[in-house]
Amino acid sequence: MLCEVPMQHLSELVTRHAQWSESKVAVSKWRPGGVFVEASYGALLRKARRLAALFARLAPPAAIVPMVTGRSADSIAAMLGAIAAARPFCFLNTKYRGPQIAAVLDATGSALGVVDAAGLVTLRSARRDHPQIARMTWVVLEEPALAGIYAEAAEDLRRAANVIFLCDEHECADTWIERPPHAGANAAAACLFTSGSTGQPKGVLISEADVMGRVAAEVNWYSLTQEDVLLNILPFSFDVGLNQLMTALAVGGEIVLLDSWLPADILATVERRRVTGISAVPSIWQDMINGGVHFDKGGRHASLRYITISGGSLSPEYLQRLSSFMGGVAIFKTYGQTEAFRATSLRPEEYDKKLESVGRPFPGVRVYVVRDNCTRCEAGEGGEVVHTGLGMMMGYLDSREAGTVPENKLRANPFYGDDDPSPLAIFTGDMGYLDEDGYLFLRGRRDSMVKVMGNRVYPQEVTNQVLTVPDVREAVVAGVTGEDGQTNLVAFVRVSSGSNLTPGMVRKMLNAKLPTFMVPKEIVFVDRVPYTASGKPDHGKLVEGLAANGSRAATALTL
Amino acid sequence: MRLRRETLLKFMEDALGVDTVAMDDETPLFSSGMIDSASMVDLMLFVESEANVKFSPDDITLDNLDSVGRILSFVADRHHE
Repeated sequence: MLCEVPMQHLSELVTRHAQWSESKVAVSKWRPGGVFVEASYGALLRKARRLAALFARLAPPAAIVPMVTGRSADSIAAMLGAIAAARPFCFLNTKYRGPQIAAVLDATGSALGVVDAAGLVTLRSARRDHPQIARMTWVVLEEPALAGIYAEAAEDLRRAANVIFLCDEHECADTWIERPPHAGANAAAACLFTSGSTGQPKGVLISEADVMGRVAAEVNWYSLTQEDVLLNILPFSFDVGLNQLMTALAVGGEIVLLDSWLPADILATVERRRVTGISAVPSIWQDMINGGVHFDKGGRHASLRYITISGGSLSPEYLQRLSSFMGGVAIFKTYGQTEAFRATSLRPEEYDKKLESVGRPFPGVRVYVVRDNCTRCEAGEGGEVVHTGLGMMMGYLDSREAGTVPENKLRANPFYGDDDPSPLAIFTGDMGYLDEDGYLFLRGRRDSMVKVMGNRVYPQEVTNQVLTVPDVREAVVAGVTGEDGQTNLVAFVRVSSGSNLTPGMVRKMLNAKLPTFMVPKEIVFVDRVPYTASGKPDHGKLVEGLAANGSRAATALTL
Repeated sequence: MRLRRETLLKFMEDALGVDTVAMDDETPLFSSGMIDSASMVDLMLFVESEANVKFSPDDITLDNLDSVGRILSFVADRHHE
């Protein structure tokens, strides 16, 4: 496939679009009352240039710029400004509160950060316990003047820290600042935080070459052009959401920002903005299916070309239902990790044939499945998924000494040589197999494999089956190890309100589908499945739930 | 059952980690980025069970949930119907 996006950085591409068509809408955002506020390429460029000048003046070369912001035209301008000034940008997860924000700031060591109105409120609560927040300079994006609690929060931060209001800055915005000499394809352009199983945020550095390589690959994969209007519902702190944003801007299209995961909002936005593509996580599609809400491809939603299922999977039953429910809209499945962006993708034309697969390697990527001794598995044989090529991180932020990082996924590439020029590889920790046609199937996490009565079980496989039980809305299966050292499977299940389902009925249905050792010993009904800031099931809260249920004491929980 | 403002604020404080002290009824929750849209379903489920109402996926929208005032009046309307 030809790469249509030349190797220029994103801010240069945005400059070109603004010169070509200054008033073309680059960003639109839903506001209360259902109004979409638009920002043109010209407006985006002018603001980005002011921010670039500010970053160049106030942040040391190559310093990471943390952004405590939501998704808006302003925060996108800040990202473009950081790229032009060659300061790696870092969107913080908006679920982060004091402890996580402090951990990120400690890791980046930044002296300059960016904050928007809601971020100001978060920082005000956080700074009481985390003095590093007040030791920085913060650029406040909002203009014109802030009101109400935002003004109070801004005043609070201004008393404690050095604060610059963008609206007070009158930098020349006719051109970009000169790009500093340290900039280049091999320098870090972005930093994403991922939380390992320890729950401590871990910074992942991505080079400019890789950022633009990802953009070019995805532009080709989804056949994006300036006619495209992409609906963004995923955070910029998540690589799938970030890459969607960057591809839309790279081709001169429109990105529509919607702060809602509700089916009715998604449908209305597709209709009103004539959306052509949506990248989403499985739970969004699951909610739409459960709600019985449909796209009308023949009518109101005729503009919609494709959707993605990213960042997780749906049970086979939901995958089948989604296909009929989409009525002609192309479905792409994608699989990847923060450390390695996208390993594989399943194309729409392969969807029915390989429903449960995550597809074949993404352009520029090599995928291997390996045994414990790093030799390659045969087709159909299970092992760990290893990724080389496009999407690999430069390394973790907290330690450039690869060997010292706990759970480091970056290791020597066992297949380094003429056929694979990458000296390093990402060991994903995901277990799976390749079939005879080279399609990847995932079974679960390496560290989640548990032994139940001597049998290897991946709790995720059991979760998929629990989700097929009618009236089950949400489920997490965990291996729970008791004080006697024995591991049992426990299913945490949320059922539809008003359902007559009992744990006994769930077990009976699972008995018909699974070998005995895979049927959870205990089935606990919960009001909601607890999640951590990064969207993973919360171990601590699940253990508390077990105690509340009168279950035996758990010493370890494996998900 | 009526949904009490204090109950709602306590849930937002405890479960969603939002600083509600200085917040008023009009403060945008989701569209400002103060609450992540991934938490939307949590908030909706809480309101449903607390107020004993059931929202239809066709009519529950961001406009109904984007501030404390909007949530309270949406729930009150449901009870009225």
